[in-house]
Amino acid sequence: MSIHPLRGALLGGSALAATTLAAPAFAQSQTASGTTVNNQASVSYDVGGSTQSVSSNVASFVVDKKVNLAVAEVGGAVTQTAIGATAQVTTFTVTNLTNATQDFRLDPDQQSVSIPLLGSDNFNVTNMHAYVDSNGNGTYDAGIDTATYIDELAPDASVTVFIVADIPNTPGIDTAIVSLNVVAATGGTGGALGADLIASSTLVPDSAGTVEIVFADGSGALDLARNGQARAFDAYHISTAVVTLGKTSRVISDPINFLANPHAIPGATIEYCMTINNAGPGTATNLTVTDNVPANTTFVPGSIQVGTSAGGGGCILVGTSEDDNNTGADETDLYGGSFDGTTVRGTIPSVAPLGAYAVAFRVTIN
Amino acid sequence: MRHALLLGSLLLTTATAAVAAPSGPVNITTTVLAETRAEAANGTTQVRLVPVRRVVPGDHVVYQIKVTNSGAKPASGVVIANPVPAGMQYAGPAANSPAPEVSVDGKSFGQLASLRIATADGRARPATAADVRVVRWRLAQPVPAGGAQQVAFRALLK
Repeated sequence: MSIHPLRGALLGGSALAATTLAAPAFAQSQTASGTTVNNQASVSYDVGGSTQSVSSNVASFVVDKKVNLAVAEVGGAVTQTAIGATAQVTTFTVTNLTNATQDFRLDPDQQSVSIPLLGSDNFNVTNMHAYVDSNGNGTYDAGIDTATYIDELAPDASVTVFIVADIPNTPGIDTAIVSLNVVAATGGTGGALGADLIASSTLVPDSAGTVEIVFADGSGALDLARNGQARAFDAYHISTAVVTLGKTSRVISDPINFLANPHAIPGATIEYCMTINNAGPGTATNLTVTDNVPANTTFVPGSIQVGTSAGGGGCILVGTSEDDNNTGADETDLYGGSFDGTTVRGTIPSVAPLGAYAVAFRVTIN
Repeated sequence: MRHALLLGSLLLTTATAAVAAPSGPVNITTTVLAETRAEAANGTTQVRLVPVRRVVPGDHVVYQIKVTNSGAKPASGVVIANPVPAGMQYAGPAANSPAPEVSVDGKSFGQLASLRIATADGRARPATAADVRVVRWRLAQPVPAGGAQQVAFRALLK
C-alpha cells in the first residue's frame, strides 16, 4: 500500500484545522475556477504469495467558473433627503460569490415601480452615479470614492457601492426609488473594467481541460435567474417641510389721492405682506413669522391679519384679524398675531405641503 | 499547497512501485464522470453520468475505479485505496458499487458512523462526510485471472 506515506503529507496542520470546521460545503470558500482536480487510486494484491501494489492513472478535470453575486441595500431604510439637495447617497454592498476573481459593472437606474417598504415613486433624481467605496470606510467621500466599476473583487469578498444623486427642486415630490444593477464582468486585468461575462453555450460540448462559464445567480425583483446580474433597490425620501418666506408691500392709500392710485408719500398707508410657502412633502407646524416695523414708519394699531394667502395682488384670502397684544381669544382662534412696539409677530399652527399662508400688517409713512 | 504535496507524493510512490514491481498482472484505472440531472417525462429526476463537463462548486462527480487482472493466477487480498482529491468532498458510494470503508486520518478505516474527530477543546465529535480523507475497498473475493472488479464513489466539488 502506498497510501500511508502519502497520508502523512496530506494531514498537515492546516488540513486538520479545515476539517474541524465541519461547515456545509457552500459556507466554505469555493474551489477556485481553473483548479485541476486530480484523482488517483492504488491497489494492492497478492499473487502467488507475493504482495504487489500499483497506482492508477490520474483522472482529472478543470473546475469551471460558477458566476454568482449578491447585491444588498444597506441599512434597511430609505435615505432621508431634502428638496434641492446635492450628492445624496444610498448605500449597497456587492458580494462576489463566484469561484474566481471578477470585475463587476455598476448600472444604477431609476425605477417608477412602487415598492411597499420604500414607498410610491413620484420623482426622478438627477445627476445619478454609482461609485465604489474605494477607501473601504463605508461612507461616501466625494473626490476619493471615484471608481465607477468594481475592479478585481476576490471570491467571497464584498465591497460597498454608493449611488450618488441630486434631488430636483420640485415642490411636492417625496419619493424616488433607485436600483443598483450589477453585472459580472471579466476579471484578471487590474485597473480596467472587463467585458460582461457571457455564459458558455450549453450546446457546445465542454472539454474537461477548459474553464467554462456557468451562471448560477438567483432571481430577484426585475432580475432573471442565471443572467450574471443582480439588483437591489433603495429610495430617496423627502419627509421635511421646505418653508420659504416672501415679503411684498403695496400702498393702500395716501392723504392726497386716497384709494385711487395712491403713492408712497408721507402719511400714506403701506401694507406689508409676508407669504409662507411649504414645498413639502412634510407639514410644517408652529410657524412664527416676525418682522420689524421699518424705520420712518408707524405701525397701524389693529392692522395685523393672518390667514391663507390670496396670492396675486391681495395678501390674505381667508384669515383672522389680530389685536396688538399677545393674549386673548384672538390668539387661540386659528391664527395669532401681536405687536410689541418694534416687532410684528404672526403665528400659524400648521402649513400643509404646497400650502400658502400670509401675515399682513400696515404702517403709515412718517 | 495540499495539492502540490499530494501530486509530489504520488509521483514519488509511483516511481518507487515501478522500480520494485515492474508491470504486475493487475492494473488499475480511474475515470471521473459528472452527474447531470434531467427531468424525466414522468416528473422524476433522472441522474445520468456523462463525461466530466461544466463542473462547478456544488456539483457531484463519480469516480470509477476498475481493477483488471491480466495475469494467469487469481489476485487475492485486493485492497483498492483512493485519497479523496483536494477540493472534493466524499459523498457516499456510487450506485451499484459496494460501500467503501472510509478514513478521516489515513490510518484507521471503518464505517463513517463509527469514526470520530478530535476537536480543539480536547473532545471528539462524530465524523461527517466532509472529514473523509481516504476511501478503501477490501475485496472479499479474489479477482480471477482475466477478470475485473469495479468500484465507484461519489464526490462533491467544494
